[in-house]
Amino acid sequence: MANKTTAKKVSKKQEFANNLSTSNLIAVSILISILSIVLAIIIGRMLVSSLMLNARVIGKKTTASKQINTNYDNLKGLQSSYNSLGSLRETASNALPTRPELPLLWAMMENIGNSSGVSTSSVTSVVTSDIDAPAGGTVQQLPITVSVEGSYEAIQTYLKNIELSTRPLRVVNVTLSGTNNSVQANLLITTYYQGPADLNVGSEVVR
Amino acid sequence: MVHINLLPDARKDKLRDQSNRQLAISAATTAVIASVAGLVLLVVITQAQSLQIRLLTNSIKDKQAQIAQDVPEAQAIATMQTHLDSLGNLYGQQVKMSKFFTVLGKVSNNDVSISSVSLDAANKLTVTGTARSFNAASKLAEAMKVSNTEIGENASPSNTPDFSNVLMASLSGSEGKASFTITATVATGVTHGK
Repeated sequence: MANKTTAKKVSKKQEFANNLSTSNLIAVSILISILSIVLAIIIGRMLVSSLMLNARVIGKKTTASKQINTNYDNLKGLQSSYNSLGSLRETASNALPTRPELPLLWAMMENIGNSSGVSTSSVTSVVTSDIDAPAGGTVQQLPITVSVEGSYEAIQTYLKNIELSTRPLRVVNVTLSGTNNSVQANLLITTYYQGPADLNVGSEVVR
Repeated sequence: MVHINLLPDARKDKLRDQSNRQLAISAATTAVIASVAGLVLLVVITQAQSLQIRLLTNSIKDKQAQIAQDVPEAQAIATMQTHLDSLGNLYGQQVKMSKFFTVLGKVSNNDVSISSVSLDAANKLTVTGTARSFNAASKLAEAMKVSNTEIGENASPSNTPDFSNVLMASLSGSEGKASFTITATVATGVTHGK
C-alpha cells in the first residue's frame, strides 16, 4: 500500500516535471535558486551578527580569564610578603583607613599636639557617618578643622610633626592670632581615606 | 572523412531539451545545497562559540573560588597594595608648610606678624600679615626665595628651593604697620623626619 503511494507520488512529480516545458523548468529552477540564496543571506546575516557578538564576548572573557589568572599568581606572590609585614600592617591601614576613622584621627591629633607642646582645644569634621568608602573607589578627602594653642615655637614644631604623620595630613589653611608666647592657631587640614579593594568579578555589557 | 549526423531534428531537439533540463535542475540543487551548507556551518560555529563562552565563564568562576580558598586574606592583601600605591602618591604630594615658619623664624619675628597662611589645590601658598616696615615684609619674601638654597638646615645652592614664584602680591599701609600678601608655590615631596 505504502509502495503504491510512493510510486504514485513519484509519478506525480515526474508527471509535473514532464509536463513543464523546458523554459518553465529553467524559470522554476532559477526561482528556487534565488529563493534559497536570499533566505540563506537573510538567516546568514543574523547568524553572522550573532557570531561577531560571540567573538567579542569571547575576547572580553579571555582577557578577564587571563586577568584573574594573573591576579591569582600575584596574590600568591604577595601572600608571604603580607604575612611578613607583622605590625606594619596596622600602621599601613591606619595611614590610609577604609573609612574616616574619626576617633583614631582625633586621638592622633591630640598625640601630635601633646608631643609638640601645644594644647588641642577643638577638632571638628563635616563628616557625619563613619562608614567604609565604596570598594574599588579612589582616595577620598576628609577635611578637618583643628584649633591649637601654644608658643610660636611649639606651633612650628606642631606643623613639622603634622608633616611627619604616617596618615597624610595636608595643612591647607592656618590662621594665627595672639602673642609670641601664646599663639592661637586654627588649622584647616585635609586627610584621606580610601575604600577597600574590589575583588568581585564584575560584569560588562558587550554590544 | 566526413561525419554526417543522421539523427532527425526532433531527436536532436529532445536531447538538447533534456540537457538543458538537467543543467537547470543541477544548478538549482547546487544553490540549495550550498545555501543550506553555509547556514549549517554558521550554526555550528555559533554553537562552538557558545560552548567556548560557557567554558571561559566556568574557568573564571573556578579561579575565583580558588582565590577564595587558597588566599583567604586576598581582600586585605589587595586593599593593602592599593592603599600603599595611594600613600606613595599622597606622600609624594606632601607640602612642606612648616618650611615657611622656619623661614619666618630666620626673619625677625618682632618685625613681621602673620595672620593667615593658606594653601590651594595647586600648592600655591598665600601668606597675609603685617610688618613694621615695607622692608621687613620684603625681607620675608626674599628669605622665602632662598629657603633650602641659602637658609635652612643643610641649605645648598644645588638644592631645590622650598618656594618658587615668590611674589609680594600686595603691600600697603604706612611705616610702622604695613599689611602685606605674599604668594608662592610650595615644593612637594616626602618629608623626612629629622
